[in-house]
Amino acid sequence: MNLAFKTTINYLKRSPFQALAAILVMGLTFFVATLISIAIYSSGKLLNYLETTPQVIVFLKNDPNENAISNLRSALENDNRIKDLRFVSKEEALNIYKKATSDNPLLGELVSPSIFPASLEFSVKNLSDTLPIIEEVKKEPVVESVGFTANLSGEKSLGEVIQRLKEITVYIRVGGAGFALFLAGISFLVLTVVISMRLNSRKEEIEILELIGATGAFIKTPIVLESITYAIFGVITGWIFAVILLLYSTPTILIYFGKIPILPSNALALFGLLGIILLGELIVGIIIAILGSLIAIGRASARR
Amino acid sequence: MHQGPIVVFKFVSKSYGVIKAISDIDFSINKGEFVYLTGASGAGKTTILKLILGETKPTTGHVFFDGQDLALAKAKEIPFIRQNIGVVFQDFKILGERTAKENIEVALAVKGVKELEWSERIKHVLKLVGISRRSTAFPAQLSGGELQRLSLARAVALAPKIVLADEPTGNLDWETATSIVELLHKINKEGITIIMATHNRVIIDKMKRRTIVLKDGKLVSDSGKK
Repeated sequence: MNLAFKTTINYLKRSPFQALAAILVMGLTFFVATLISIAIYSSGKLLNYLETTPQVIVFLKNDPNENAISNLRSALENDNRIKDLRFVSKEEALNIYKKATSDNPLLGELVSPSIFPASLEFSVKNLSDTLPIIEEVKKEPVVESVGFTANLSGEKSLGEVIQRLKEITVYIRVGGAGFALFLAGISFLVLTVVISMRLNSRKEEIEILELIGATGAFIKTPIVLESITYAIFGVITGWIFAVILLLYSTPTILIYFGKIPILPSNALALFGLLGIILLGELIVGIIIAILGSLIAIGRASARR
Repeated sequence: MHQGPIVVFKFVSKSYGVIKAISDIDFSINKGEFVYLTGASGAGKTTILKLILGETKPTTGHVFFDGQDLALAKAKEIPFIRQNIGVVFQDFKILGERTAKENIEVALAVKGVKELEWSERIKHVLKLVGISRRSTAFPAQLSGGELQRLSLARAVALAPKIVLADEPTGNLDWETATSIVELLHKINKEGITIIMATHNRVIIDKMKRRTIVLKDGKLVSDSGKK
């Protein structure tokens, strides 16, 4: 094994530019793959946030019957499709309004609590349950109207909002995975071509090894190890560049998305996520390297 | 000294398409023997060595190496059979980007010899072939004679049952060629069977050993046949 590693290092030293080309192509693939992995993670978090953030606001009539409100509240609390139920009084509604218009205090001064309706706010556990819940709540006598906070790209109906959210997630997941797969295919081809070129230049050496009784495994091991080396360096290079880009743009991303936790909240968790991505990429990279080199060896053997 | 046959050819023929390389070759070589295989170019010497190495299979007949029928050997078994055969070629077949010592190390690794034993074995074989002081030299820094000595050292390091030498003196001047043949005889004295293919009659006449003569793929004489 020691000799196999030594041979691998010799092979790498012999054609450094081929090695560099293979590493950079792998690096580009895994740079994009790392960014796509983060995008998939973040889109999942975004969807989860939208699904669990208070989305339904039930505005109550101006002079409601306290008992009726209490009954509605307990009915909603017992509904297992609903979570995070909260009652917002007229005074609290005014405070929210004042906070929202703090850049123009005059607007806050002109209104009194009486013009704001009290409301019940809650989230749904599954976004697709929203429409039936709203329809049910609308029938309650104390309910004036029901609002839905999620709104993407000006969709008019709730069904459209749900559909749109799902589509975005699918685009990110399927599109991203498809693009990463395409790049992985290119890496695989480049690795196969580089290894084939190497085998061609080592034809005589392989012939000599076969004559002195080298087994297939003895001959293949340094070649496969060389391919794995490209993959490992490529994965690490791509991952490092993606991490640098992510760390550089994190403040902007966090400001843009505000309180939506699209990235882990602390550094340890963030690096935990990046570590998992690196591990996954190393596994994929090594599989690509092994397959690529074995196919190149197979093709070279068939030609001999 | 002789302990039964190590190589047996039983009415072996080998054709490459319509060309018949050898025809009805029948002989056996005992362990510890030194045999010259001679004949003009194209007589079939290299084909016989290739058949022993398992590089090619006979069209008809059987080739036995150390009791094993090579025609029946699976492709996976061939490397293990070759690990018992030392090979020396006219064009040396030395790994160009490794030093003399590393060339022997590779052969030892191929045979699975423990690394602890490498140093001792390398020292012994380099001394045996007389290039101890050239162990760290690369092939490009060695003369033709030294390269052939290295090739011999690599073959002997594996402690083979047999050494096949295919025109080992073909690329060498007379003096160097003689020293290589003497070296092969020295190795033979250590108990290793040698089959040397050569068309150099002067060497054959000088060394006086069993000689198998081939002509147009046929065995025309065998001085060892009783």
